[in-house]
Amino acid sequence: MLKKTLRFRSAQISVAILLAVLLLAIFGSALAPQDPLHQSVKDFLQGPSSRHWLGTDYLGRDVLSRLLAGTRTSVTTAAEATLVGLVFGAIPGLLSAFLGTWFDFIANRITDAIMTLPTIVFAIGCTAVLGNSLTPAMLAIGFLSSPLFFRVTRAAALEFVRAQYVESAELFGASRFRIVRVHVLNKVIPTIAVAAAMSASAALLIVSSLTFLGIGVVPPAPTWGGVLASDLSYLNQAPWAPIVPAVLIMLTAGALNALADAIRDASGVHVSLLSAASSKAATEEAAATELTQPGDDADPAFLGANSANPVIDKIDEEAADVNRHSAA
Amino acid sequence: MSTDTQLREPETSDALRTGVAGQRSPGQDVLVIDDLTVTVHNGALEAVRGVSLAVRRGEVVGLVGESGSGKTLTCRAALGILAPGCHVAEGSVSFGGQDTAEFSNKAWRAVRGSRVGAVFQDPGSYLNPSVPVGRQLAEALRSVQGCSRKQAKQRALELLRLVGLRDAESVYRQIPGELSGGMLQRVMIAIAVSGDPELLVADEATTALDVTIQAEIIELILRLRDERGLGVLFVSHDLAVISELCDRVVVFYAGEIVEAGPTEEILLRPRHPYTQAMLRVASLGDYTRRTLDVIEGQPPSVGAQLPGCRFADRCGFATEQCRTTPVAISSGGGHEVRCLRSDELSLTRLAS
Amino acid sequence: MTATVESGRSVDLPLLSVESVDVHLGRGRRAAHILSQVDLTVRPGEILGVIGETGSGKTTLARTVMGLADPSQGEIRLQDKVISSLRGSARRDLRRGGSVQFVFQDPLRSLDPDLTVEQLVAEGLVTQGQASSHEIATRVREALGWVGLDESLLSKHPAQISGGQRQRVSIARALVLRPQLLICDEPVSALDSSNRNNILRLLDELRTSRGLSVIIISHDLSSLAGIADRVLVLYRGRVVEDGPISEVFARPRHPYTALLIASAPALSDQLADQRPEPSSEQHRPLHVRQLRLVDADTATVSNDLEAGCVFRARCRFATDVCGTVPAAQDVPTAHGGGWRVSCHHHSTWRAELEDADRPRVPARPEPLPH
Ligand SMILES: Nc1ncnc2c1ncn2[C@@H]1O[C@H](COP(=O)(O)OP(=O)(O)OP(=O)(O)O)[C@@H](O)[C@H]1O
Ligand SMILES: Nc1ncnc2c1ncn2[C@@H]1O[C@H](COP(=O)(O)OP(=O)(O)OP(=O)(O)O)[C@@H](O)[C@H]1O
Ligand code: SF4
Ligand SMILES: [Mg+2]
Ligand SMILES: [Mg+2]
Repeated sequence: MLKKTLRFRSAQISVAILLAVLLLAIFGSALAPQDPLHQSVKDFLQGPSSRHWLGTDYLGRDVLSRLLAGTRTSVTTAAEATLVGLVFGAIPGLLSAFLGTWFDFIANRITDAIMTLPTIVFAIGCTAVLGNSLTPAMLAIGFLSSPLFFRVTRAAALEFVRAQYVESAELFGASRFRIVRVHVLNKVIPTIAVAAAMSASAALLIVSSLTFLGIGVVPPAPTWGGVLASDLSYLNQAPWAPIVPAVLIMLTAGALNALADAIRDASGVHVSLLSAASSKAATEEAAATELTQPGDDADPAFLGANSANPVIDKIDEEAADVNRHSAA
Repeated sequence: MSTDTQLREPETSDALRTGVAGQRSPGQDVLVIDDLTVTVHNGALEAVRGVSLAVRRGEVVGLVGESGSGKTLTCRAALGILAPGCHVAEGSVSFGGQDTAEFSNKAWRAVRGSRVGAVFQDPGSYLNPSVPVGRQLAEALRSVQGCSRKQAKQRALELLRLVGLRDAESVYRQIPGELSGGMLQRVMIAIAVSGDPELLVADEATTALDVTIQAEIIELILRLRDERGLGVLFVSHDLAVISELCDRVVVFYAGEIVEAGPTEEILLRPRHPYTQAMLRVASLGDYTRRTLDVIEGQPPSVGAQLPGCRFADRCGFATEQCRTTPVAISSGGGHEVRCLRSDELSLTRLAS
Repeated sequence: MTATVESGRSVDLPLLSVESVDVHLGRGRRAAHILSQVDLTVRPGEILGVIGETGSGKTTLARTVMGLADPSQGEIRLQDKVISSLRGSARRDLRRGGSVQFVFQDPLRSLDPDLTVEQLVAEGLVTQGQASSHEIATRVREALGWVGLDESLLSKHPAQISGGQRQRVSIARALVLRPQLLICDEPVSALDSSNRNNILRLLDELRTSRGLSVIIISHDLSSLAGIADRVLVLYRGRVVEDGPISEVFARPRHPYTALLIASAPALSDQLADQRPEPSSEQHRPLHVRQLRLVDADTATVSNDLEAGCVFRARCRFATDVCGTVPAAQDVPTAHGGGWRVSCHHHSTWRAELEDADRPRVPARPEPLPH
């Protein structure tokens, strides 16, 4: 799946960006040319200069240094949130597909309940109770994203639980655990990966908006969101200032989303609804599906789960591949 | 295209026939495969080599041969839907006179949508498991023929009855998991012929059917052939069906064509030792207890490089020369054969 | 008939018996009565063929025996043990024992696309967890050899092998567990005649050497005739005929069986001439046209399996009494073993044909809905 994903140009670019962000997260503080916490009141809100490449903020701190040093916190918090979502969402989702009626019923009701909670208010509540630092805020955000993971994982797993090869494994007397491990897990992983990439990018943005509201980040510590928030407060004095942190956040979030799309395309997660077969057979099947369900102008609603277009695009790619080969 | 839509309207078969004559002149090649070589495992192995065959309008061409001999790969290559990792390494496929290598994506889409229909092995895998089959069929109709929802449903029901699903109304509402293997196969056939295609590729399309329904499907294909000028590439292991249905037969062995010709010729006067062995073990139409014969030995594994004939190891007539010299396919009077000794051997179906 | 079947002891002790089983599938509005009052027995070393129309419930019958569908009535016994009521760990233990194996009809769907052929064939053994990995590897290769697959396939995925190869992988993964009872749903439909015969021969060999019992569901009557001892004919969820295959095929007693056999694809006359003389058939084979009810109004068939003979809407010989469900009636057999037919007119319809002997003219085919 990894190899296939990396065949997409968009995936290559995304991975390059994410690797760069990862490097910044690890070495950011070391790379920072100046102390990100060093205030210098006389230099406040300066434009880019040879001393401060990206200028300074309202306390005269070097913006470049703050962004570099803030990478780690921003990235870890996003990762934390995603991890929490995965643990509280994906695992019950998998279990739900397998343990059947009772567990499924209860898990679903809990999920519904969580979904009714308003994100920001809940996060504020959590920090109020657990203390104002990023980790509780991220726990809250992660917890709130768990319904997404739950739903997605459960739906994907249900698709495979009813597959005939699972029946066949049951006929060999395989335990539930073995069935999940051997036959189901690797097929839902692409789906979970897509959800995780999406949730990580969402978390990154939410961190920014929380910082903006003054929740989660204890003041002098730099984060991307924090830099953006402070820049936005001084728009009058330095209108160009928010651009760099905003671009950084959007680039990372965008790369995550593009990667998610690429995973989806490569693994045929979208096709998995078409067929209980796995990612491997999916592309081939998609082509065959086109033969049987052709349609430029298919009305997706009418077809139910099968909105033909992404499928057709995929086939065209495969077909183009084949064409190129036969031409060569 | 516009004439085509007109053709679908009339209800009587006479009207169909007159229309066909103008649109689809018989005898014209609808599919031509020329010297096709298909590689698998990203070019590492040649699973099909040097295959040439043609399907004319109003003609049913049968593909037979041992399991794993490359029939499905050939069909898939013809439709431009080889699985990832498999490629057309050499040769060409042309459809209605146009080389498919030059097809744009849009052209492929148009062709797959309405000019070819296909039924694959393992029908259940190609339908959306969570959508009622009738809706899937109706959707195919709507997108190709642009009819209204109600018309589409009407036609879908007609088509389901046409393929022998007597209880069409309830089949229409059932999802694939609720249908038996043979019912699924018939739904696939219905979808394949729904667009009134010029070419039907049927890869073991009747294997899950009982003989009475199979007879009806054979009748249906023959009618479409005669009335609509349908060209068919029909893969089957059932030689009795092949003998009833096909005008010409192509015999595959280990990725190559070993013999091709008119059905009667091949089945009555096989000239290749493999064809003859295949016919010998088939015990056609025998409904008594008997010893079951096999062709001893195994075919060479995919992509094996052999200097001589690929059947030599299992052939009762093989000579040293067979094993060492490449054997070309010879054509004589429309009956092609790939055997060095085909002229000296006089094989019959029952000789051993 | 084989010796095993005739020896008194084994006749008394069926390996599998299915008694008056009814199966309903689907819930609510979709509920459907799929099997009604199905009886069958399989003795050790016996090969039973199951034939019937598509959609008649053959797969459902096999799935019910395997515990993948629950009978709403009746009982299934393996030797003396009722298996149809097993649940949970008792059922899992039975399955893990591997004494009953099932080969699914659709190999592409029943083989996990992410596993390799080696993993697929080994799955049962690995699940049992008794054999060492070395032993598993040897047994997997041995099983592949039985079904005529070479070892180069071991590392391939199901999508990378041909349809017939997949089908043989399915058979290998069942046989590798050395079952007592093997249920195969169309095990040879995707195979060429040589490989088909190879598989059938293998099953025949295993039943003599190890007393394997086999149920083969198949549409290929000629293959079945080659190895099966008995045949069971299903039509729309009911057993219409059940008897020794040689006798049933030579002289079917149920009009549906007769129609089925007469519809088997015929060879062109020239080809047929080259066929060896039919051994000892005194009965002139019937022609489809004699048996097909061409103006059958099948659209109005009720789905109620209790409303008379299931075949009556398509039966040429149906009369008013066919509005009641015919009881299974015994027919004398030459070789013993029992022969039961569910038809009110089983002893008279053939005579009626020979009297009239006027094949009905087939109606003009309806025009295509184009
Ligand atoms: N995707 C693939 N990757 C690698 N090898 C493949 C692939 N598909 C098919 N093969 C190999 O190519 C050979 C030809 O396969 P193909 O499916 O064309 O056989 P076939 O003639 O249709 O056989 P069958 O009658 O069993 O369906 C087989 O030996 C198979 O193992
Ligand atoms: N889950 C289900 N719900 C409702 N009806 C079902 C379900 N599964 C199967 N059926 C119906 O049961 C009938 C018997 O199906 P089954 O698969 O047993 O047939 P079969 O004899 O194996 O046919 P084939 O030879 O085509 O495989 C069919 O009419 C089918 O529509
Ligand atoms: S060329 Fe020789 S080995 Fe090949 S088929 Fe002919 S006789 Fe046999
Ligand atoms: Mg094939
Ligand atoms: Mg079935």
